[in-house]
Amino acid sequence: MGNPSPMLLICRKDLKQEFRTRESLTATFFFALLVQLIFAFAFDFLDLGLGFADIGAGVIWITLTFSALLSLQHSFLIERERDCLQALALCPVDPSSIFLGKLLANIALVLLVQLLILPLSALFFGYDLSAAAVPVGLVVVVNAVGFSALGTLFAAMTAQTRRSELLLPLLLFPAATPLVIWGVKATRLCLAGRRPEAYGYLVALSACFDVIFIVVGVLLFDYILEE
Amino acid sequence: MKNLRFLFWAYTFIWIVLAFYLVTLSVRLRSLSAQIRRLKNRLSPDPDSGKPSRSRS
Amino acid sequence: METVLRRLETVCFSLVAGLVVVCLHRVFLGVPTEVTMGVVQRIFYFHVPSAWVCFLAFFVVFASSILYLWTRKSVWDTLAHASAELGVVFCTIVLITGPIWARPVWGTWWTWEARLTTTLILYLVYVAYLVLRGQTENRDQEARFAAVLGIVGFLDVPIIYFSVKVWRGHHPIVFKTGGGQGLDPVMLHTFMLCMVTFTLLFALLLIQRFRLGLLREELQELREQEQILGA
Repeated sequence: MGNPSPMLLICRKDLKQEFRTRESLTATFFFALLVQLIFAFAFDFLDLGLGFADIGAGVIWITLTFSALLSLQHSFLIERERDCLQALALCPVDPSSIFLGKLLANIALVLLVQLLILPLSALFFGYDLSAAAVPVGLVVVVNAVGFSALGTLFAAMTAQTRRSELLLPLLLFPAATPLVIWGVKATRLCLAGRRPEAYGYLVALSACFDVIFIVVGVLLFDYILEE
Repeated sequence: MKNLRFLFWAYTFIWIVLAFYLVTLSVRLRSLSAQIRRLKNRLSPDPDSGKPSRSRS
Repeated sequence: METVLRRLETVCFSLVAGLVVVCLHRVFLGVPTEVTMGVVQRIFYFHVPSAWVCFLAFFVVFASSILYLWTRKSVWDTLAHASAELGVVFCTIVLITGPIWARPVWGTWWTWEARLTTTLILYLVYVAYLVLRGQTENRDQEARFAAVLGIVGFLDVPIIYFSVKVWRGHHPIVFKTGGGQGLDPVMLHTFMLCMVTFTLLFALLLIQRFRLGLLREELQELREQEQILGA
């Protein structure tokens, strides 16, 4: 029976920390809800005669993207607040384990909010999610992995700089555009009831993106955390 | 010669951007060189400290 | 190093000065007018080389970033910073001349076609790079973080381009460059000349901006010395 791997330890620590207070999860969830509310006013579907199919995927993805951003920002800000960044850097542990541990925890927290918001958005905007639940869920998961990979890397950086709240979106959004483009397109096709062949390649592309940037993150995280 | 004004404005912008950058670059270079010269003069003959002043090329 | 740089700078400057005159002459007087687009097509001779220089600059950022992380020699960081700034300058040129060319040809100032969109995103990535450099706590952190972003950003660019192409389906081919009945030979020669000129212009500006970076470091060192001696 060996020691639990550092990666899992860090992941567990982050998740335990979050579930103890649930402050970030709650705030992020309600933020996502507010974004949906703003969309309801911004695109008055009843009044304008817009079908949700026209812009629904976009509405969903803007909500998911901004809520993921909040989660990711929090993941390292909390380390900074508690002066733990230095402790992490001094850990006698391979930095890639720290990265992967943080990544796993971030994916879990990002997904938790996103998968909770989806059915609510179906409720608010009156579209049928049940038929496309699995494919949309898959698209969201694959995207969350990639977004979290880039986000974990960048959040670790920006948490150590000034104006981190401004800097993280500035860095993350341009870099994550492929995920947004593919996610929106795939979701639109899923909600339109298209067959898997139509959007499968988009999910595959997103998965490749995920792998590439997880590897890049593993290789480069060392340089971000060193003292 | 239709659309000549578009061609004119395109080239004008290119020159403006490049000229602006070149000018700011020279200004910054000159200002930095002046500051370095001043600092070196301040640091250079300093018999009390016993530390030789370093200058890099 | 300073003397080598100055000498290179002089050589580049003379070459660029001469070539710019030749280019301008050829672009405005030597080259035949393109059939469909008319005079405005001549923007191409400076627009495309600017885009090439922009990518070259960001490649230099990428390579310097790797070299910095590998060797930890600050000279690579200085080079990366210089190149990123230049890349943003030339990207600005591309983003201004692109719409000016697009308006008479496509009837609209902006279109979300693959190349323009990718260039815009690229611009945002490297502007973020420059902003990041201004927000760090110390020199070492600035160099490390910028290097990481320089690497990630450059690796992302082809993916972004590809994803935008997927988004758009295909992008309109403005006009063929080479192959078959593509470009008129005079146009091709002028184009290649402009490419060379812009590359040399980039080299010239890079040397100057690099020298600026080195001077900044020298100034910083001198200031630290002054503090030590003063304290």
